[in-house]
Amino acid sequence: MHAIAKLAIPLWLLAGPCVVVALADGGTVRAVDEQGDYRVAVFTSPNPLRAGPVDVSVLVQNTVTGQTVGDAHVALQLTRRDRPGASIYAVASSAAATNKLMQAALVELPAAGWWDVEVESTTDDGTMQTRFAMEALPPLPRWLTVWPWFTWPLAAVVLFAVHRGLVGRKQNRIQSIECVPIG
Amino acid sequence: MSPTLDAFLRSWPSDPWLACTLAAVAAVYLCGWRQLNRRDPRRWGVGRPTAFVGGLATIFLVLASPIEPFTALLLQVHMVQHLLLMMVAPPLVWLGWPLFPLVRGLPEPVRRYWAVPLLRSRRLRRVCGFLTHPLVAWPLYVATTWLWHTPPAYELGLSRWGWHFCEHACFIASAMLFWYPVVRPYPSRPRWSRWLLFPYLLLADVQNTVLAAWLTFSSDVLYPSYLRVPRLGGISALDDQAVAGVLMWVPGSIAFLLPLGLIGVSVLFDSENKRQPRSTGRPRAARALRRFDLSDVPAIGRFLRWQHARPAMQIVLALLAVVIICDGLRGPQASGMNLAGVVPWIHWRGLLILGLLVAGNVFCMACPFTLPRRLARRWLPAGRPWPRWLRSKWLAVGLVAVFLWSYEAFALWDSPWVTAWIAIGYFVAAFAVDSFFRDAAFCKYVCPIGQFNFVQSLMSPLEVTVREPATCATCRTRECIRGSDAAPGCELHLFQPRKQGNLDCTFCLDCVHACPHENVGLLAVVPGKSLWTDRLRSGIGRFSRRPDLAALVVVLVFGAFANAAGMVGPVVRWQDRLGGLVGNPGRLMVTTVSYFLAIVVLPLLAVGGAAALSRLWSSGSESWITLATRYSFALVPIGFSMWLAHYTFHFFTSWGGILPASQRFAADLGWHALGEPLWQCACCGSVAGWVTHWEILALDVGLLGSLYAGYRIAESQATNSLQAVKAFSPWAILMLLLFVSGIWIVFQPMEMRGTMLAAG
Repeated sequence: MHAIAKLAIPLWLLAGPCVVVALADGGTVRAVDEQGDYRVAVFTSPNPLRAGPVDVSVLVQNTVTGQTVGDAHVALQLTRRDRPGASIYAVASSAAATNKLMQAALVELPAAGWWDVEVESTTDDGTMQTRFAMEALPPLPRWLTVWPWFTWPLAAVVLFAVHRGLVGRKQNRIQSIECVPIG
Repeated sequence: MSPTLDAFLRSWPSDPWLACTLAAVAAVYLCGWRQLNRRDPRRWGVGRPTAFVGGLATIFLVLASPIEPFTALLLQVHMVQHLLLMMVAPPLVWLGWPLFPLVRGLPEPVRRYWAVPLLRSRRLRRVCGFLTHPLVAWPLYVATTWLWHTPPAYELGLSRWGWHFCEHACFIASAMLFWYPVVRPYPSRPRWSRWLLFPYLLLADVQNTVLAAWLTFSSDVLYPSYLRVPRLGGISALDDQAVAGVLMWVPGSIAFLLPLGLIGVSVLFDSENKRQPRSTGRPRAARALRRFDLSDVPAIGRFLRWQHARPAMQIVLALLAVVIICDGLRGPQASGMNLAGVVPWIHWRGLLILGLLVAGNVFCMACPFTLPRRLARRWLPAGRPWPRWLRSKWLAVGLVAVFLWSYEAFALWDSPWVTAWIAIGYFVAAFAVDSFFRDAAFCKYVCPIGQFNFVQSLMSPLEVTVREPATCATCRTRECIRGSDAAPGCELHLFQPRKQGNLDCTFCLDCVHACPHENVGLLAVVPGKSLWTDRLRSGIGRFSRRPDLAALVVVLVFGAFANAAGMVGPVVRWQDRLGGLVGNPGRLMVTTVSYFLAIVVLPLLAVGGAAALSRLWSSGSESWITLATRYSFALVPIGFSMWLAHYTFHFFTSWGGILPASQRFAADLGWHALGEPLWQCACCGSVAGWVTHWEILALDVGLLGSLYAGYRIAESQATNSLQAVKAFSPWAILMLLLFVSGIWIVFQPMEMRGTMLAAG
């Protein structure tokens, strides 16, 4: 068990790199559109929206029953307003969504600016199209996106200073002598 | 089951860091609780860990279960999340009486050096006593609750992930403080009356009721975000808000009134002694905890204790070396297609540094270059002593510097033919040196790879060392150094009872096999601990009197950064500009000048400057050379972290390259069973985000390790804390500069030299 406790800290440290970009589905509501018996709501994340990886989540609901439509086929088309020819296509799925009510797709926006988004939701009763526009800000410099990763040692240094201040050097020295094995 | 409920139950967010953090805390707690339970099973019954782990499980459920994804859609779910976070998890955690088990469960050095002195601090105890006093904890709890339920603050938490995290942190911190006086976890000894808890909990319930009533009876939707999101199950935003208010009202009131009743019964019937049962009988002696010993692990330990373990590993690596040499000499000279271009520069380097990180000097243990020497010694005398004037690391310093320079200057990574000849040269050199000179002269004084491993293994978690010092004190035969019939003694003259750290240890395990008392093993140590102690070490002496060793460390530290910088675009372009300024003397000359600056001039200036400033600021009496020698060892962690970041980057991004190269090699031999090579695999794909995180994390830990080692060295030499800080400051600045340059390198686009192949 003691060995497990010793392994716990490295495990915790190693878990850090496993944390992928924190883009949970949901986020900002971009559009809510009702057509016939269906309502389509589109969310984007992160907030504020920036060029780079963007999560687009779509919730399709039946307004009569109030239930979500999990088997709807949702396709996305994102077009840069200043370059109409170049579009990004993606298919949203519930497998890619954390909230399984929704259908999500992770889209890479290559540039900042206004984007026209078209969401095509196909259910048993037909196809609905939801259109809206969104503005993506320029991406943050890389160091700003990962700053917590290289600034946390500062917190450790502050904690160390506090520890030193609270404990006192003399006491520490005694402790260190006690715990160093001879030989 | 309704589709909404079905979707809810399947919506589990992934949060490995939270899961690992909670698992780590639980593991430490259970480890400590088990020891306490052995001593006093009545006081430390199973109820304690049940409550504590239950508290942790509640936190996990709150933050990493289907509750979390639905909080943005339904206020009632969000309310459940907050109630669990503030009213269930904290009291459960405190009911586990976590202080003693958590302290007891920590690794010994952390407990004795960090935790116990901190807990003894009067100032800290005063601060904690102040914060957990009912008259402080109550207002903090109430203020936090009300503040975060005001519409602007709540909306902020809903719209930004960072603020949501901050909201949860405030909730859990204030709730921990609030519930502490209520639970009074052992060994707390409050000085205020328990009667104070009656108004404490009652007033908390009143304010909770007021807030809940505001939510329940409000005619407007207080949090506009819930108006914008689509409604689930036909529940309007206002109804949702009312349900949330009722949840806060009823279960919230129960959370306050239930402990109130229990405390009332307890006070009335004076069951204080029952609540905190006293220790009964004589406590059982705690079992002495043994350090982890790899040679005790069932299968691995048996293999390592086997007399022929090392030759077996050497034979495997020697066969691999033969394959690499053959392919390097006769195969295609595109490094990505050749085993000699892929295996040594991507896989071997990556695995070597990872081996040093998780175990120790495992490459020297399995080194194939010393295998011919072992065989040849049956016929060759090898009786000469290594020349006295060469018995230092200065030759090795020069060879390491030359190796680092030649790697860059002759693009070794890009030439399988040269790589093969380097391997052949190694075999010949090891054989030649050790045929003439006794002991392991090649390993100790010549081999650049060995010097690299010796220095980096100072950061390894395992060390070949004695299990029980008392056994060695009574030993008169000293087989570990003199040898026995079973095995030779240490050829590097490391006498186990006086050995400290992994420096100069090849992990050959001769001492393990030779010791008749089985008192030598591969034991766990605190990585880097030997850096800040300056004891007399067997075979080494004192660090402070080994400028040659310090020079080796400095070359390897600055070499780590120079080696990594050599493959990033801006540095390559800077070298080109430098060449242009001096009339394009050629790539070799520019690289030579760059490397001379990077691993000779710059270290001299940086380390010399830091030592001079350290002496000046601390008004110390020691010479700057002595200071430079001593403090240089503190740079080992940051250097190790840069090597780790660099080598593992190649390994993680290009490990797949071995498959097509092996397929090609096998096909060249006429063996097509492995299939046709798909050369796309050999190309470096896009670099995953976690690789950058890993590199930064390695540098973070390296910086902290260096800062800590440096401070401990300063502390050991100074007469007071202020002097220690002054002496340490220049070194801290140097470490910080190295760290910043490492982070800068990590952020640059890497030029994947020697690994890139055209797809197709």
